[in-house]
Order: sequence, then structure tokens, then C-alpha cells
Amino acid sequence: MGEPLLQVIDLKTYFMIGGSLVKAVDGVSLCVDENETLGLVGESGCGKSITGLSILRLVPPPGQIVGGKILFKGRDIVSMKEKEVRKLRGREISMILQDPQSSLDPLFPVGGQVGEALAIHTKLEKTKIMARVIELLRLVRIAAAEQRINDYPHQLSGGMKQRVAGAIAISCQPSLLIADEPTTSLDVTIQLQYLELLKDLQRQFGMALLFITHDFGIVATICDRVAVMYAGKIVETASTRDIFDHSAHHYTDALLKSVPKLEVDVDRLASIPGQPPAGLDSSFVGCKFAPRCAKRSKKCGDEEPQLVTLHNGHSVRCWYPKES
Amino acid sequence: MWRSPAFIVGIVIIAVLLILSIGAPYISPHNPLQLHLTDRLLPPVWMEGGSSTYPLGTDPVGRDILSWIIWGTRTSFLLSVLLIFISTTIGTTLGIVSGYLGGRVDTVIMRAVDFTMAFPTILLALMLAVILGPAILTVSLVICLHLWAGFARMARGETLRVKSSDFIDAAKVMGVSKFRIMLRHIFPNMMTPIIVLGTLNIGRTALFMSTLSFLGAGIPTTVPDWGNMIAFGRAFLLRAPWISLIPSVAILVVVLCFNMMGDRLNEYLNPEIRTKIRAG
Amino acid sequence: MTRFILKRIVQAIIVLFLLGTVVFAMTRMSGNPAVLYVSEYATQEDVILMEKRLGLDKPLPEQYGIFLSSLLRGDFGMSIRARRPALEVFLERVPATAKLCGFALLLALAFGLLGGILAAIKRGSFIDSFVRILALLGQSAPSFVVAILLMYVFSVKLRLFPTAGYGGIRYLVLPAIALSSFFLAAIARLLRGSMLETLGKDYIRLARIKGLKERTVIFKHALKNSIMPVITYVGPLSVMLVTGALAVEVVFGWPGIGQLAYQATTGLDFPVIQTTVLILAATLIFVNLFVDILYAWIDPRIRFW
Repeated sequence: MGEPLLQVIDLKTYFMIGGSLVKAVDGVSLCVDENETLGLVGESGCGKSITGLSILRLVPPPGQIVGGKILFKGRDIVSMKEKEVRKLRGREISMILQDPQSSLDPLFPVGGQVGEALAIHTKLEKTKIMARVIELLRLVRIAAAEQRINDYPHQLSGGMKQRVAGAIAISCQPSLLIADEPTTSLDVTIQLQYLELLKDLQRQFGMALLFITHDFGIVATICDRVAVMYAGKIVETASTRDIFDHSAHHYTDALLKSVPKLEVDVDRLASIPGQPPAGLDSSFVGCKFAPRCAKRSKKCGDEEPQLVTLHNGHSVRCWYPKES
Repeated sequence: MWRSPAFIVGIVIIAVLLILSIGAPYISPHNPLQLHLTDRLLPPVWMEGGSSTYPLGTDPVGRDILSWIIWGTRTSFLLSVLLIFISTTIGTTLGIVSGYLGGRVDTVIMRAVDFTMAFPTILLALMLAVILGPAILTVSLVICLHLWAGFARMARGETLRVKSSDFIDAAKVMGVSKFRIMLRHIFPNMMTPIIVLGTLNIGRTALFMSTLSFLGAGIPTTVPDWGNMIAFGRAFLLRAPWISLIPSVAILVVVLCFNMMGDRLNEYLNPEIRTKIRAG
Repeated sequence: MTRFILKRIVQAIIVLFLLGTVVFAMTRMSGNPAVLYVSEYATQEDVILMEKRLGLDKPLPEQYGIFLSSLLRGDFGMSIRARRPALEVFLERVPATAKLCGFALLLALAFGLLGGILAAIKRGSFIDSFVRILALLGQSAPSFVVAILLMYVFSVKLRLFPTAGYGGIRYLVLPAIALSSFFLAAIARLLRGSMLETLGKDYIRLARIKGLKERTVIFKHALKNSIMPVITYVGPLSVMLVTGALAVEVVFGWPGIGQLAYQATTGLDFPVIQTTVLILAATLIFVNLFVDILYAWIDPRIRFW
């Protein structure tokens, strides 16, 4: 197998908001192999998007990466100079954002925006770039690509915009593609199509895919492995099969149990009492999920559990994980 | 916000202005219009030659500057606030009517707004000054004409925003008259923008009024006004700079104070302006 | 796009007519309009002659017609003071004011935009606070106050610049700075606010994700998207520029339209005032028209209505 393509080791990204410290990402470790799809699952506010942004070193102020390593092809992104990171962006690592309505600049034609990354990262001249853009648009299944390159974003539907975003992301054939809830804002009817498109592109270009989502249904569809996040920490990692068959963390368990099989949309859950913690105060002790956990006991309130490997590839952060 | 030093200073200054303007007849040491021909061009008390009888000095015809400044708060502060109230009322009413009724009424009112905003009101003031002579009423009219349009536009925007809400529909279903709907349901929704816009405009009004007075097309010279005093002192900038400089500083302080308050209010009352981080 | 332009041009012409009507209405507001157009030393005969010229014996609509037609012919009346056609007197002053306003606008745009951008990209830093404080001060002082303060400090005390007059660059500096201060401040604040909002948008994030240099992100994507409020402001800005120029010219004795208007006001030279109002207001109407077209050119969403 060799070295994983991406290895995030104990990543910490903190925010300073109005005098209090928010630990958005608090010691997250994960890895993604070439050609693999890892799903990063959790409720809103758990830190999954920030994790994705941290990998690209694009954490918005007032946040910053305060600790940990992000090894990409062996090199640590956290300690790189800005110039070096910029070389990676768009070229080696790329990202698709959640809201198609706002990810395209409304004032520029679509073709130019798709070709922008090519213009920086390659030495191709304009006509060649435009030809490549048309190819890319065809690849993401946009009809009449030659006409579309002169259109403006507001002339495209939401689904088409998100495909354009896909085209932008793969334009320089990155090794790692981070997708931050790309189907959340799309019509239910086209969500599946889009996922299939991504899977297709991944196969074609041999990319690794880090898929950030709150929807277990999506996880079931395209992810090889899953990492579940809660309050800035990874609480369980396993293959997709293991997660669905015998999950070990009570949070994951509750998520999976409380929603009908077809669409497991974590955000709409009412059955787990309580709220996910927003800005945790530093005086909080113990397991972060304990207040909402049906199986909690004294130890959970006293000491925070560490990540423990159960068996091959399956680890969990719990003092009393579910028996399989 | 209530505890921020900028806000507290602002409130204090406004309180001072209020006291000065209302209590001018009792607080002012002299009659501001009284000429003291033997004491002309005296410097303020902290400079050589100054005396405590005239703490801020005297102007070219011997009027006490301190008294003029104190009485001047009535035009720069009280009158400005009054005019804002009037313009706000007229502007907001027209804006709500325009937004709610739509159609022809809307078109006519909005054309009027566009026209007003494109017109350099100062020229209007100059013209009126020549035709009618400078008078407080004339200036007031001009300023209200200058300001109403901004409020009308804002009110119309807010009305359009709220017009199709459920609670408006509910009121309609219950047979509430159009007038009542506009007054009781639509108007309360724009209290925030009104307050912010009003506060910010007080500064603009004071600026505009003082500019007009300076040019001789505003407050008549027989009434104490800061703009007027600056005009009197212009020719004496070398010999007696305080005549122009002191009212200049006064205007600056007042407008600065209202602008700061307006900003704070804006930040406080508009939560979108506060920082947010994206949820992850 | 052409349909849009045509529509706006028609609207502008309508407003022009409205303008003429308003001015006309104002001349008929008090007493005998003929008095406005003759000097204070006019004899009874002079007044009667003027009444004839204005057609005061004819019905009001016909008077209106006479008024409009003489304007269209270029007859704006005679300046009472100068005893020359008011239009001629007015046009002589245009270059001086154009110079002043042009330079002031340049300063305001250059430093205003710069300040706004810097404050936005270095949010929360010393530069940001500095720009914001200067902007607040700039918007709190009327142009003539700034003019007087500058004159006092730099001309009277420091003797660096002449106090009044018209000539080379040295005479232009202080008036231009005084005139630009308010707008510089306003532009800086507007742009800062707008940029802060734009910088939070996803497409800016995506631009960075693509690996674009920060400079490109700011100037190609952020600035273009943030400039709209500033352009919208150019309309009211030009109106206020007139107000400011008037006062500044008076303070510095700058021989432009502003000073002319002031002298005409104090000297009761109504024909000149009328000319000033009509031509300036008409100019502003065209400026607004231009701004609207510029708007549509920059933002494709507006074009495709």
C-alpha cells in the first residue's frame, strides 16, 4: 500500500472570537490513500469544514492552525511557506464548495473561471486553455459546452454551476479532491447524478477524495471509509461496512439508529437530546459527547477518552464502546 | 455597546448640547447680538490680551464669541434635530405609501425621489436666498427637501421587503384598513433603519446648514449660528484666527459625535455587520 | 443593453424638463418676476421693458414657452453685475472649477480606493484603525471648515502655500485637498465595507483554492465585485462635490463657478444664479446617466434585463 497520500496528524485549528477561544478542530488525525474516498461526517459546527480548509491552509481569520502536521505526499503543509502552499492549491489539492450559487464570480464568464487555474499552473496559451476548458465542461456533462464558456454564472442552473465547480476542481488533475458538502444545496433529484459524476471523475483521474458531509446516505453511496467527527475531534474511524454493520461509538450509533434507512440526514435529528457544543469553554472536562450520551458513566465526565484501535482500521474514542 | 467609551462620550456631548441649546438665555454670559465696539477682536482668555469677560474672545464688531457659540447650538443642534424629525416623518410616510400601494403612486413618488436626489439642493438654497432673502424658514424648507428623499427610499425598500409577509396577509384577511396596516404593521419594522439613518443624517444636516450660512444663503446673520461666525472671521484669519477656528471646531465636534453614535448604533442594531465564522 | 441606454436617456431628458419647470416655477414665486432680472437701480421703464421681454402680460403657459425657448436658443439672460450675457460669464468660470473638481476627484478616488482596500485586507490592524479614524474625521468636517483649517495651518502659520488666488499647482493644492477630504473619507469607508463583505464570499475562497496569487484575488475578483457601492455613490458624490466646491472656492478665492454663484447671491444677480442652477443641474443629470450606463457595463446581471 505504501504511504498514505494525505496524513493529518493531531491537527488543531483554533479561533479567537471576541475574547474566547473556540477549538474548531481539536486534535484531528486522519489519512486518505490514493484512489480512496474518505467520508468526514458530523453535525454542523463540528469542525469538518474547517478541517478541509486547514488542509489547504485557507482557514479564515480569526482562525489559525496552532498545532499538528498535515503530510501530503510526505511534505508537511503546516510548515510550508505560503508560496509553496499556493503551488499545491488547484494543482495537487483542490476543493469543491458547498453553495454553487456563490462559488462562481458573478462578473466573469464561466469559461474564463474554469481556465483560471490552468492559466496559473500550466504554461499553455489561451486557445489551448479554452480548448481544454471545453473538454472539461463536456467531462462534467454540460451540454453545448462551446456556447457555455461565454455564459455568466447567473445564466446557469444550480446543478450546472456545481458541475462547473467540479470542472474547476479537476482542471489541473489534482491528486486530492476535497468536497465540502457539494450536494447539500442541490435538488434531491440531481444529487445522485452529481455523486456518480464525482465517482466517475475520481476513477478517470485517479484522485483521492475527502468527502465532507452530514449525510450518511451519501457515505453509503460513495465512501470507502468513514471518519465521524464531534466537537472538533474524531470519535470513530472505520470502513463504511464496519460503520454500518457494527459502529462502536454511541454518537455514531445514535445517528444511524434514529433515521430511516434511506436518507440518514444528521442535521435534521431531533432524537438525540441536547445540542452539540458551540464554543467550548476550556474548563470542560471529560468526553465531549457525555452530556448527550445515553450510556455515560462517571469516568466519562472525569476524563476525556483517547482514540483506541479496536481492530484493523476501526478506531473509536470512548471509554465504553459498543460491543460488536 | 452601552459601555463603550465612544458611546458614553457621545451621550455626554449630546446632553451638553441639549442643556446649552435649551438653557441658552440663562447660561450665556452676554447677549450674543450685542455689539461691544470698544472690545473688538479680543483673543480668548488663554491667549495674551484675553480677558475673562469674554472667555472665547470677541468678533470684529465686539460680539462675545462664547455667547454666540452657546446660542448657536440652537441652530446647529436643535434645529437640525427638528428638521430630521420632520423629514423623517414626511419621507418615511411617503416611502411606505409608495411601497405599499405600488402602481402609479409608487412611480410618481419614486420619480420625485430620483429628481430630488439628483438636484444640488445648495443651488436651490442660493436661488431662494436671492428670490426670498435668507430666512430660517427658507433654510428649513431647503434642508427638508434635501433629506426626505433618502428616508423615502429606505422606507419604500423596507416596505417592499415586508409587504408579502404572512402577518400582513393575516391582517388583510381580518379586514384591517390599508392605513392601519401601514401604520401598525409596516412602520414598526423600520424603526432600526430610521434611527440609524436619522442619527447619521443629523451630522449631514448640521454640515449642510453651516455651509449655507457660511455662504450667506442660510441662517440670517441676525441669528447666532456657527456658520455665520466662520464667515465673519474669514477676513481676520491672520490677525484673529479664533473667530473662525472656534466655531469650526464646534461644528467638527458635533458632527463627529453624531457620526460616531450613528456608526455604533448601526453596528449594534444590525447583527449582520457583526463578525461571524462559518459553521464547520 | 442598447434598450437600457435608450430608456435611461429618455428618463434623463424628462428630468431635464422637470428641472426647467421647477426653476421657472420658482421665478414666479414672489411678487414681480421682472424685478429679479433687473438691477436694484433700475427705473420704472427698465422694469416694464423686462416685463415685456418675459411676456408677463401673457398667460402662464405661454410664459413657460418663452422661458424654455429662450433657454434652448442659448439665451440665459443678462448678468446684472457684468452687463454681459449670463451664459458667457458662466462659461468663463468653468475651466477653473473643472480643474479644481477634477484634481479633487482624482485625489479622492486614488486615496479613497487605496485606503478602503488596505483597511479591508488588513482588517483589525493599525492601518485599518488609522483609515477608519481618518475617514470618520473626514466625513465630520464640512469642506469649508477643512478649507479654513488647512488655510490657517499651511498658509497663515507655516506659509507653505499661498492663501488665495489662481495660478500654478501651488494654488491648487490646498483647495483640492479641502474639497476631496469628505469624499475620500466616504469612498474609503464604502469600499472597506463592501470589500469586507465580498472577501467573505465563496468565490473569493475558490479563487484562493485555485492557487491564485493574493494580489490577483484582491484586484481581479474582490475589487471588481466591491466597486459597485462606490460607483453608486458617484451620483450623489457629484452633487455634493458642487456644494463643496462652492464653499472651497469662496474660502480660497478660486475664480470658478462656485465663487461666481456666491458673488451672484450676495450681489443679487439672479440671471447668473439661474444660469448656474440650470447648467450645473443638467450636468449632474448627465453624470448620473453616465453612472447608470457604467453600472450596466460592469455588472452583466443588470444588462440582461
